[in-house]
Amino acid sequence: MTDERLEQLLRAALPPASAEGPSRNLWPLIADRIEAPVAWSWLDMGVALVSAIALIMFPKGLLLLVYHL
Amino acid sequence: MPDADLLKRFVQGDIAAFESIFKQFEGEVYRWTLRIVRDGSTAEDVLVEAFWRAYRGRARFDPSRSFGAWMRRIATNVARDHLRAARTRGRLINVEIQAPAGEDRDLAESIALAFRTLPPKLQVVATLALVEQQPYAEIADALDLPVGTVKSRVFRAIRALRKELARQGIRS
Repeated sequence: MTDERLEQLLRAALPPASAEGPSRNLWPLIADRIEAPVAWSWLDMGVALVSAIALIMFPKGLLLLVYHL
Repeated sequence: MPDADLLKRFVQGDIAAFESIFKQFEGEVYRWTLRIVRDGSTAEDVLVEAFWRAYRGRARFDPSRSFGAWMRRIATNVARDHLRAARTRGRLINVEIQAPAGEDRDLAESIALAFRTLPPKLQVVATLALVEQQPYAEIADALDLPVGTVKSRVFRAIRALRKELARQGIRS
């Protein structure tokens, strides 16, 4: 099978997609997501907790952190 | 093309400005996304996620550049993430087969099946280049890749498709 034949078959199987636009007004969904408060995941809280404990145990680490920022 | 003032207000976080920009670009971004994911409902999900990411990353947007091109890049990344997630969950996005019933339909189904086995990054370029016949430069811009890389991915996609079809016993 040549590349051209394969491309032809592919276009026949999956014709180009066509549509004018979304079927409904999607702006309210976007606005809701923008206005939703930022939720902390368990992972976020875990990382924050480990970082806080590390800084309490090794306060000099803060200087290293500031240097890298 | 949104005016410079509107884009500056968007960068500053003005939601009304963003809504106005959204209204101007939703159709264009939706059509581009649909070309990649090939499913209307998925394209709508991608559109919402892409515009949300754009708002979240607005500080990185340079108002002197094209908003459409920036948005298309974000939407392409989100669409690729969707294809990747669907693949990981083993839930391949359904594509509608257009061929009539019979031998042609069987072949079309085999090709569509082979197409859906492609890794997402190859699937994206194969859809845009081979099915939608978009110019390589446009695809490269949307994927933020050099044109040479796009060409190489198209080549790899064709090779992978041929291999998958051969595995299914189709060589004609």
